[in-house]
Amino acid sequence: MRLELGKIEIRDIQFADRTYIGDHILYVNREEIEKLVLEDDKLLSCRLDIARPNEAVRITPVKDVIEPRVKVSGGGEIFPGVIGKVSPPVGEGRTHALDGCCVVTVGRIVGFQEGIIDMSGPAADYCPFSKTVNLCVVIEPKEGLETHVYERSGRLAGLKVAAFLGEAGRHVKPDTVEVYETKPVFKQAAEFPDLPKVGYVHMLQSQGLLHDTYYYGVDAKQFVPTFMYPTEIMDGAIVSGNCVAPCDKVTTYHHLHNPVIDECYKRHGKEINFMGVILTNENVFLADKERHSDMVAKLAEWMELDGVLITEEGYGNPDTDLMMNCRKVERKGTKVVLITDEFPGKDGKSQSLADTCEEATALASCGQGNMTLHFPAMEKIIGMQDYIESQIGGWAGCMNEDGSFEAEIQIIIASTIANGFNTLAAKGY
Amino acid sequence: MWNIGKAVIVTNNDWVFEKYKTITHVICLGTYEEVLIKTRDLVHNRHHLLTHPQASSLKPNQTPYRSVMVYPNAADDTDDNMNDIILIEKCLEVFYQWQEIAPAPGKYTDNVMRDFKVIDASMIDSVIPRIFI
Repeated sequence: MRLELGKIEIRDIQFADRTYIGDHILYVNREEIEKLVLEDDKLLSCRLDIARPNEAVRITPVKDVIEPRVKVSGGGEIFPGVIGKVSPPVGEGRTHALDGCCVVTVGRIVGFQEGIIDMSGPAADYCPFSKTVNLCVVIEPKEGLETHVYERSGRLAGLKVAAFLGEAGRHVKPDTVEVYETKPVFKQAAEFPDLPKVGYVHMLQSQGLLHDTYYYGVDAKQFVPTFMYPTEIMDGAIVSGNCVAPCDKVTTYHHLHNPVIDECYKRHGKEINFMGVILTNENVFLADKERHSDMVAKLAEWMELDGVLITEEGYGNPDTDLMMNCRKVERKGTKVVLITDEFPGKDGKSQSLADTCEEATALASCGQGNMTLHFPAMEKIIGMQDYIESQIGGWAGCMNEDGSFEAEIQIIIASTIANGFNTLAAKGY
Repeated sequence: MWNIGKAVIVTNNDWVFEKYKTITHVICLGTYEEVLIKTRDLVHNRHHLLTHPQASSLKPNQTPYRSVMVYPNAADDTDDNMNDIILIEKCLEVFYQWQEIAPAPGKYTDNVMRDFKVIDASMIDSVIPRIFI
């Protein structure tokens, strides 16, 4: 599959009487978007707001972050199986991305798991979405809805808005065009025969209600491990539906911008032969874990990979999948490097993962989530601060009367995201 | 491979108890820690873990609820359960580690408690169809 990804640089978002892109500004018709969101009769209200870098603005509780994209050619539609048609598959042809802006869905889904984006101040250093211009879609559900029903409404609202805004970029000339290509397995292996064959084992959060990810619209806990061309992921074949700890939540934006895929393509044909993605999940049922880690190892062997990188999403249960995948892939003769974040306590002295194995000898750390930080009061809150004390990273009494609070950096969206799309790391001395 | 009637659910979530008490054996306890300790006792006494004792990725000092499914070893099963024993002991160790980082809050608001119950129950809900195969 070969994909041209055209990036249209967006420097600001402004409300206007129609939706279009002009001179690097995304103009948004507010009424049009609100009407689109409220087509879902489970939502009571929808309010739009814009948050820009360096403003004294806090966005919380954040459910998902999505970059607007559009399929221009090559078949398929953006977010296939969820917003776009499920077939033909995506990953080929031309896609345009509105680079520098995001859709952020805001509102309480569950009281403890949605996080914070600060557009300025100390917490902004830890969040990639403090540097993007964000169209915030603040939604409120009707009374009495089951949590998972509302989660679905919130998830679809964000994706619908992102797909709608992406359309504004269909006929705009991109500022840059990057080309990514992965060939069928035998051709790809033959293309760079002298370079080590490297794959990426991509573990999707799939533990149950409110902890799900979707692959072409399928709940990830319902599939068995499979092969994916990396470019499919750039076209939205994977979307987030989960509400795990904010710090390591892989938002839909992060799926579109997977840093492991990005880095492997940069080195493709130079240092490594990037063979593609083995997609797997993180299940609750231990028999599923054993079966799926066996399948991951079998796929790695079948592709004759020399090395794989493995990423996870979440803590605890997924650490067991991470280690099972590591152990079994290594035992097939493929070298493994793990990428994850850590929770070693405030002093950094406790064991930082909930599971280990002796084959896990190489690990890239994305930082630790237990560090505490002072969050100053902001001039404006998009959403509400009612849940700070029960959100992950907060605690009873952490909130001050002036709107400032203390919390662990776990509360910041993507601060320690376990695929490396952040600035934290650990170094050995 | 499995008979749902033989599975044992150890829980402190009354929603799980009410939902599954007529389908299989459910042991309802008071706290997260008691659930882990009872699970450990069962695993040491010839039971396999069916579900991961830290399912949901909620840290052990965040959620007050925990449900775990175990299954008795077959009569001719010579497995020493060592993998299960290591896993549940590790989970207990991690539980105490998180209590040292910050003790679990004694009380959340009703709607937050409800959300924790929903998520914990969903872990068991997702496994039941796998056992009915």
